[in-house]
Amino acid sequence: MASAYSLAQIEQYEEYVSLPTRFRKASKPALDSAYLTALHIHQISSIPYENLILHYSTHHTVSLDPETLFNKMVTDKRGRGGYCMENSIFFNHVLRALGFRVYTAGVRVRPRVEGIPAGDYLGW
Amino acid sequence: MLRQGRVHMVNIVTLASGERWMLDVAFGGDGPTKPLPLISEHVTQNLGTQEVRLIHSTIPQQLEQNPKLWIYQYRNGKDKDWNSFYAFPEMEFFQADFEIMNFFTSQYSGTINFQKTTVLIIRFLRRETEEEGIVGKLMLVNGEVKRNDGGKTRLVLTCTTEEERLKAFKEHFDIRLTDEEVNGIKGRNVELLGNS
Repeated sequence: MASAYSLAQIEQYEEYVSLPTRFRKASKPALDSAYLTALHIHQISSIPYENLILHYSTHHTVSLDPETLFNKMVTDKRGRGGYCMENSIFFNHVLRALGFRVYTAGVRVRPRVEGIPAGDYLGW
Repeated sequence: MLRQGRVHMVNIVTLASGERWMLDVAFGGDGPTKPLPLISEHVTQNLGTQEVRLIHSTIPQQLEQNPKLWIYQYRNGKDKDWNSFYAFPEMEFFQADFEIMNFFTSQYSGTINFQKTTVLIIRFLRRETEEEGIVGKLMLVNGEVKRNDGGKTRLVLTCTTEEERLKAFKEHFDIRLTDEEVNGIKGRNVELLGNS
């Protein structure tokens, strides 16, 4: 499946997360682990994990529409990110647009008891 | 505190060489700070003294031993035990699957869903040198702003009013909300009402 994001949006993203020039699409970087690492580091240090939309919004709901996510995180330039599914789906479309073969998998998490994961894994 | 009702997802990349990598960019403070190879027991240095790895194994709840799952584990030092945080299969999930998970996580207000009772922000801090990397993290949990530079987490400040928390969003996280968004907190369970 093609990425939801255009080349113009990818350039906007690269600028927003301050990706080094050698890892920008225009430099045609090799699709390797060094490139993935740079993207990962710049993504998590520029686009926070945050769930403010559940508390600070009129609707208190979350959209996973890729265009809505792009506007919220990049175009609006208000420092916003999203919770796990917002950020991961956004990042999935970025990786696809850059030419990576990528798919998403659901994860079961163990609850934390006093900070430490313990017991049964929770449902999807 | 028991935090339940977490659902999560990761990206899995296959390179031309056949190598496969997991990219988790949204687990929060205990997430990996770089991609992890899908190689069982391959250890990667995470923030500070923390090490993380994936193992290809089973979890106790499985009745069937196949297919195995990939389990994300961490330990906070070489002398510590590995602890399992989450598990995922190699099966592909579609947008439609996440829409269902998202409906629960964003709409269900029972106590099992900690997302609805907790205000959270986690942003990782990047070292801007030739050798780029993640060197810390800045967190907001309800009214507390905390920072970790690779060692112990320290409390930066405690907000008791909405005014203080909005200031913290802006000054510590560079997050600016619209007036409409700011008003959305009124009357909610997580609104900060001061100490009075």
